[in-house]
Amino acid sequence: MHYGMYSEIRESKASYISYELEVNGQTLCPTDFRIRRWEGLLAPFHAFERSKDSSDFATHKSALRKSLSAVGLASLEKNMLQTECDSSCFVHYYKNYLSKALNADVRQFKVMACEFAFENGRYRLLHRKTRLQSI
Amino acid sequence: MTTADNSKRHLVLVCFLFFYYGQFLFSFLNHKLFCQVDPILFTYKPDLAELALIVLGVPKFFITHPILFPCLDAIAFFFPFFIGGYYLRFQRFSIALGIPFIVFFYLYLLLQSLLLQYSLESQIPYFLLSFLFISNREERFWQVVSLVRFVLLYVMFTAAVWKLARGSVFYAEEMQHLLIEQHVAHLTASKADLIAPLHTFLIAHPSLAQGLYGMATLLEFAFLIGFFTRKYDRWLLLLLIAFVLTDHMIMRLPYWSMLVSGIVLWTKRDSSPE
Repeated sequence: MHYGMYSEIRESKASYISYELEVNGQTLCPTDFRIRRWEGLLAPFHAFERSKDSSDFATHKSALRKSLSAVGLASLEKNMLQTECDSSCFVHYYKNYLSKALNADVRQFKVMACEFAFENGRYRLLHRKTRLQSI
Repeated sequence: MTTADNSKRHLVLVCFLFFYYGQFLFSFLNHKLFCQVDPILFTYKPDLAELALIVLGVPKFFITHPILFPCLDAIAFFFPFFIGGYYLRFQRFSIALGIPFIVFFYLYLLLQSLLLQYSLESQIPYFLLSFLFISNREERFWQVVSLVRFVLLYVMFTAAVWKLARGSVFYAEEMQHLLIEQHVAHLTASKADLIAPLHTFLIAHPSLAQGLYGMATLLEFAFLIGFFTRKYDRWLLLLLIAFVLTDHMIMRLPYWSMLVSGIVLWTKRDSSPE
């Protein structure tokens, strides 16, 4: 653990990603929520995305596996596996979660990744892609 | 303990508990208690304690037994009541309650990081304050205060060292790029909030933004003095408050747990060497 957050040199990027949450056909506005509440609404989705994008944290797992084998505790490897949760299982969970968190009957939702370029002092939408949606 | 030391201990405890329940309330309002989220996934971070917990199967056990999530929150809520009740009755802490609380509190924070994607880094000095629940002797109390103070100084000072060592403080557009990335969701939202014009202004004036970044680094660096003397502790507390408030305003980073541990900069032993 270190405290070097926000210390790496940041070059300008070609694009920046922001996530939009659409519930029952209406796009939620992040400025309507407290910072932590907005983060909380998207946190399970981000966890799912991280797990998917990293092939369920393959790098971490492989390093851990090596360490466990080296100390003769390979039998603990089974604890590193997530419980089975594919996209449809997560969609079902996330829909219920949003219903409870927003205290509303969420019939459908959509999470979209919006890619923006920052040019001449303003953001310009490059494209919007659906990352997760209820069936 | 002397009466003066006792009242200082009470002040630190009240601050800790006030924040503890404040955080609990906000977690509830933000729908971030375990029982509200019922997490089904855990994430990996390069943190030894968290990895150890994963290997031992703790997050997996909770996910496969979700009934335990409300229990976890209930224990977190009621545990300090028992500690407080014992203290009020016997005017001392019960070690048999204090040690399990510290272990439980650490487990709770680790699980928050693993299952709810909380950041653990800023919580460490706050967590260490819970060692007060086993500090019956005057000497032990001041040892805990010194430990939390040392860690707080370390957190702030090394944050400056990282910025200096990586050179970001000397990179003219660092803060501008940071703000563009940090606020993309809020600055592209359909409705702007009250603070958005400030962020837009800073992005449009990179030298001013970088000046703020440099000032923040200097502010963090100032905590170095705390390793040599306690004379300026209250000034450091003021700097800490300024840092947390501006961080919240400019970066939208609510580091309130850092602020509560700042109480150790206010509390000073009467006979302590300057």
